[in-house]
Amino acid sequence: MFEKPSKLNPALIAGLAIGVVSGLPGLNLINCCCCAGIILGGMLAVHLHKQEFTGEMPPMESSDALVLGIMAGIVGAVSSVVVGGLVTVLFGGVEERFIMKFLEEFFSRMEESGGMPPGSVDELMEQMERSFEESRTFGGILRNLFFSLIIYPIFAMLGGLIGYGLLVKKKPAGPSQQAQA
Amino acid sequence: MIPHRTILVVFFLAVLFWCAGFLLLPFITIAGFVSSEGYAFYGRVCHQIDARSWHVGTEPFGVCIRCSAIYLGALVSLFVMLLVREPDPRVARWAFLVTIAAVAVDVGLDLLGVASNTELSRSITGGLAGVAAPWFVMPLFVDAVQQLLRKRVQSQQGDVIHVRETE
Repeated sequence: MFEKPSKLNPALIAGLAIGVVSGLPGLNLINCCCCAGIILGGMLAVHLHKQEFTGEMPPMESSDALVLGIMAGIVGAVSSVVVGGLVTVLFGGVEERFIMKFLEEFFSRMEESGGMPPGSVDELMEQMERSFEESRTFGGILRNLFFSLIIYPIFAMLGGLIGYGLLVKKKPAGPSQQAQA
Repeated sequence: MIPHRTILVVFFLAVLFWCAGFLLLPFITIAGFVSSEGYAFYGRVCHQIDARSWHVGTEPFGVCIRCSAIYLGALVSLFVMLLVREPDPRVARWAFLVTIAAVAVDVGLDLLGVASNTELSRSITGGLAGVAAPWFVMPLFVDAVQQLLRKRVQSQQGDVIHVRETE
């Protein structure tokens, strides 16, 4: 019987994808919807891992998806901080002004359509500016990393399990597995 | 091996802790304690737009209305799961997909400017997604944890046999 494929590659690729989605300003807004970017990253890890299985190998199990999600989440947490830092170093204020302008227009449109009450855009922009300033300090980066290392593995693990539930076809349990159960 | 119910109870307590965190933040602020780190923590998972959050007095919860509804829905569902039998996995899967699609439609129509979502629509779609999610995810989680524990026990037994053989 062949061994199961290594989880390292899919976890690294999916973790880097999480890092890019979460570290790039603007794109990281997807995580405002209950960490959707991180959950999708966990699902991506399971999808990539599933591709590596062949017929001779034992089937992929839910525990593989759980471990993969956690691994991808840890890689994602670290890489999002690195990507965010790189973007700040490379583009600095240019990228920040671009994002602020984009968000201001977006939220103003929502305010006009009644999706947000009047005056809330200014408050939101102030919040954004504060978070940009904080994220540039060493303490801010460390805090980001600490929070990310808690949150990302949890949500990526959930993403991995959701991916397993949706993407992986379960094989019927063999006689030995039935006996164990 | 840890029984199914114990894993459910531990997960329920973890979600309870998570929900207590964002629900208590406005009370902590009102009491005069520093809550900025708490808001920053939950800010990693939510936009925290003030106008889209429930408030205690003037202070918002740590997450927006939709997120609050999702987490509280999941908490209620986990509590119910402790009391009743799990439904057919196919029903759970479809319920999960339909409720996630409802959230996506509610968000999408708003983003495209077709129809603004409301506090009620955010609460209902979020709450339903939160209620449906544990029925789909928890059986997989419990199964995964039990598999990991079983593998650990098997590897420990393997080590013991190996040590005895070498002795």
